[in-house]
Amino acid sequence: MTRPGATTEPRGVVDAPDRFGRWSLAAMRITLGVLWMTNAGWKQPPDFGEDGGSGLFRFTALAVEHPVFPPYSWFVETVVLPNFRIFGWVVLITEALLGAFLVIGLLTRLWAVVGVGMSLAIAMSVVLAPGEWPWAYYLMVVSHLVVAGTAAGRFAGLDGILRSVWVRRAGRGSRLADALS
Amino acid sequence: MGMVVIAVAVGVMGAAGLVVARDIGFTAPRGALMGWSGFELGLLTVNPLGAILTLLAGLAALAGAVARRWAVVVGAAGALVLMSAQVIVQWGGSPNWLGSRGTNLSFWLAAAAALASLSWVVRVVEQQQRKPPAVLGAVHEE
Repeated sequence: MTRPGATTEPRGVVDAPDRFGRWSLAAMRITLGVLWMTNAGWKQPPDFGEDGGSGLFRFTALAVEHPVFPPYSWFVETVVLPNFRIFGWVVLITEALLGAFLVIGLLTRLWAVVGVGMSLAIAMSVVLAPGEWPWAYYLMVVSHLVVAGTAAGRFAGLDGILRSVWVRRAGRGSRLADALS
Repeated sequence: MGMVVIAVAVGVMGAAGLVVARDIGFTAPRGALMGWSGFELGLLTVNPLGAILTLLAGLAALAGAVARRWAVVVGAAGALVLMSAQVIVQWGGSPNWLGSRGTNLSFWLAAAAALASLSWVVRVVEQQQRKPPAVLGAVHEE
């Protein structure tokens, strides 16, 4: 039974004025997904660069060496770095999932919000480090917000296809999936 | 249609992997890179075994999609999940049977999720179409 008021119209991308707008949003979503997908490629276990002071460990330690937000720097120094291998696995798996779900446009709003969080965490680590371009991280945060705000997986993504089923079901799981798409 | 697109994409990546990995060992732990590292567009790394399995997964998914054998498509998705698990278990060490890295994990998971969810949608729609229409009451015309 279709939920009252439910529609399979691509709500969430209705603010895009035309197909060019929708494809632009889809391109932004896919590009962000490829960004995470490719960057999962250098976060190598088992030590994620801790033994050699390189890789993910080096970038994470920048939050302590060049503090952006002191409470975050404290958290990195006292919680993250002493348990770095666990943190490394969390980052690797999260970025791999981010890449996967944004590229295919599945549960896009959820993963775009996760992307905002990851982008902020990275920014708070490296924005004041030498050689960095802070605007890259501002753009990452805002781009993920746009993808979340426009539900960019509902066009040229799996959310647009699966919603045809979700909106016709009254179950809690379908309602949740629809909201996260 | 979406299933065919995903299956073809997986198959193309597998075939491309066979080309780039042609000069390395069959199960070389450090796979050959697909992409352009200078542009920070390094995609999957595979050895010939990893490329063959990727290609086979794509072909199986394509065959299942064309023949409307959804169990075959789900099986291909399952194979891609197993390949993703291989990355978590073996990347960074030796052996690394498929020559894979974190990008492979993301790509194979994406393909698996896409194939599995599209199979689910098709089966749900087919089930709904097989149900007789509900008769809620007679319509009386006066």
